[in-house]
This record gives sequence, C-alpha cells and structure tokens, in this order.
Amino acid sequence: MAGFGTADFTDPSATGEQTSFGGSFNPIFLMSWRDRLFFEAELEVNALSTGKTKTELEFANLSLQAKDWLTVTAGKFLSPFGDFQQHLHPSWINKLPDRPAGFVEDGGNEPLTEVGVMARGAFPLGTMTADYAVFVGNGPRLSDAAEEGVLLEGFGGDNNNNKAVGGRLGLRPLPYLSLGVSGLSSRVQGNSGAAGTPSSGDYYAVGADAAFTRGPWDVRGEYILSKLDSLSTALDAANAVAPIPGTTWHSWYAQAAYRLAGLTQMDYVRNLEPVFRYSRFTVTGIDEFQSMQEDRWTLGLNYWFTPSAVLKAAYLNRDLHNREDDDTFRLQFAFGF
Amino acid sequence: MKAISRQVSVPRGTLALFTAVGLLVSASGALAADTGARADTGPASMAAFARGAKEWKENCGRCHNLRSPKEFSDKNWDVIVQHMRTIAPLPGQVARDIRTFLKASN
Repeated sequence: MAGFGTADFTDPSATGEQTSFGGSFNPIFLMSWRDRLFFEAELEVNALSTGKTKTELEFANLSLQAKDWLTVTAGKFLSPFGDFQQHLHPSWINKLPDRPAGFVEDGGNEPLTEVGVMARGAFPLGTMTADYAVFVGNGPRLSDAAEEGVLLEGFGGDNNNNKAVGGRLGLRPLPYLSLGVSGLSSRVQGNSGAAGTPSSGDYYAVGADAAFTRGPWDVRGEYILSKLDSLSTALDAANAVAPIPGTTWHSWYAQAAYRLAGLTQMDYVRNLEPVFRYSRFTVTGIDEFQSMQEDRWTLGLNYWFTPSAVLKAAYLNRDLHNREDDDTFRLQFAFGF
Repeated sequence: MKAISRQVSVPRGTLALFTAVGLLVSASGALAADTGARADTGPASMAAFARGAKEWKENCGRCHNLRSPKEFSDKNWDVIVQHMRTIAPLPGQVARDIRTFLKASN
C-alpha cells in the first residue's frame, strides 16, 4: 500500500470568513502478478465541514503489460490529459496547497478521471523518450449545478451512446525537459428540467504542457482550451429546458520553484523551497458558466522534512471575476508514504 | 449511395466499443506471451544498476522528490515501479533498470 495524507489550516480572514482545519487521507492499493497484471486503486477520504466523512473512489483499474511499449488499462483511471492531474495533484507532490485556477476538482477545465479503456506506453526515440496515451471512456457530463459547467470526472455509466476519445502525446527531448499535447473529443447531453427536451452538443478540449526540472529548479506550465457547442439544457431541475449558446473555457498556469539546497548546504535552510504560481481561468458563454472565472497568484514557502514530508505555507491572492475576492492564507502538511 | 452511406456511418459509441474490444483482444495474448521482461539478477545486473541509478534520478525527479531506495522493501518496489511505469509512463527497460537499482540499494 502507498498513498498520502494531508492536514490543512485555512485562514480566509482577509475576506471576513472563519479559519478552519481540515484533513484528508488517500490510501493507494497496489497489487501485481509478475510483470504482466497490475491492479491499483485509490480512495480519497475527506473530513467535511458538516462533521461527516466523504469517501470517493479516485481510481480503480486493472492493467495488462501487453508489450514493452504498451500497457492496456481498464476501469477507472486518472485522465492522461495534461500534466497536473495525472502527475502533480497528490498533496506531497503538488508544491502549493492549492490547485491552479481552472484546474480545480469542481468546475475546472482539466479532465480528472475517466472510466473506460486506455492504451499507453513509452519508448526510446533516438536519444529522446516519447510517450503516448489514448483512451475511450464514458466521458464528461453537464453538471446539475450550472456554475460548474462540464464535469470532467469519470462516471461509472453513460447518459448517451457517444463515448469520449482522448489522449496525450509526450516527448522528453532532454532528461530535464518534458513536453506534451493532449486532446479530448466527446458529446455532452443536456440535462432534463421541468419541461422541454434536452439536446446534446459536441465538446472538445486541447491542451499543452511543459516542464523543466533541472537541479534545484522546477519550472512548469500548462494550457487548456475547451469548447462546448450550443445545446438545449435545464440549468437546474426546476427550470425548463432552454437553448444555451456555445461556451469556451481557457485555463493556464505557470509555476516556478527553487530548492535552496542549490545555494547552500546550511542546516534547515537547504530544506526550504520558495514557490510561485500564476493561474488564470476565463469563460466565454452564459453568465452561470462564467462564475468560476478567476485570476490567481499563489506565493508559497515549503519546508521539506524528508523527500515526501513537507510543510507548506502559502498566500493565495484570488481575483474572482464574478464574485467577491477570496484571498486566503493556507498551511498544509503533506506526507507521501 | 444512400445504402453505402448508411453502411459507413458507424455510430460513435459502436466505434468506441470496437476500439476498446480490439485493444483488449490484442493485449490478451500477453498473458501467455513473453513481454521481453527479464529477471533483475544475472551478469547484466551491474550495467542495469548503473543505468537504473541514472534513470531513477532523471525520471522520478521529473514530478516529485527522489524517494530513498531504503524506504521500501523489494516487494514494495516491485509494485511501486509497476505503478510508476504505467502512470509516468516509462519505457519497459527503463523501469526494469530503475527497479534493479532500487532493490539493490535498499
């Protein structure tokens, strides 16, 4: 078993709200049979502000090592689209306590998980390394909560017969440089309402990501553009179905971190790591979809106790375009095991 | 022309299903076939160890801090490397070299 645990403290007092503690636990179960069959599953267990506990299945899939360059995975898996969700989101890996604007779990623009079948692998390409992932899955859905737009998480069923197809192509031209492009094509069904018949619309997303990780430097960025064609849907169950125009979502972030061990071997100081990230999420479409728009910068300082145990302190400056700003100070302790 | 048009107009869901089945069928032979994987022991293990040390640093450090080989047992490293090989993803030989290095260093 592997996984990670997280303890949080949030101080949004700049906006007049209450401070709070939080915690979560993500056990990951790994089982294999020789080098051929591999099963993995992750649970995400969160303490809610209501006093209850929320448990979700982050992923559960079976992989078959078909060839040296081909792994076939079936079940629920992290979407291979982009870089942040599949590689960086675990709290002991993410260098800041927050996720970038537009890359959040509810109402974001990056595919999170998928339920279906995926083929992926990596192979040498001259002196470089190339990797690929293609998948077929149930695909995204329109949220019942209009402000969340399209939900990009893996659903254990489908509400139409059109499956989502997507993937990512990656290239590592140098050991410390990674580049990737991603795509997703699907059809999204409108929601039923008090009256009327919903229709469906084409949805697609494209993305690009890059990472430079050399010595004490960790510099990376990612961009995603997604579009939903016009369709008829009910924005909530009490409303009648009505046509909505096409919607476009843009999100991107750029992040830089520097481990002070690159400057000094002084006790304690070498374990510090300043981090800065700027992220932006914009939406063009109906007002309800635009409520998640945001410009955010996050400035943080990490202290690494071990390679997988970190205390993060960060200030989040959140300029929410259609809501009150939500500046926050956060402390987070994360431990990967 | 209409008849031909109907024949070639395969619903997207059906196409996706055939794609998924095709992937599974093509992969199923791997249970019986040799994937090219080899044991971590043997005369080549020193070379694999040296390659693995370099690849561990280059590949694992792309997303997260390097975990000490001593953190996990051989059995744990087997499944952790398999997990990382899938999600990173890593070429098969690179994953085997890294595993050799980690298991020889813990």
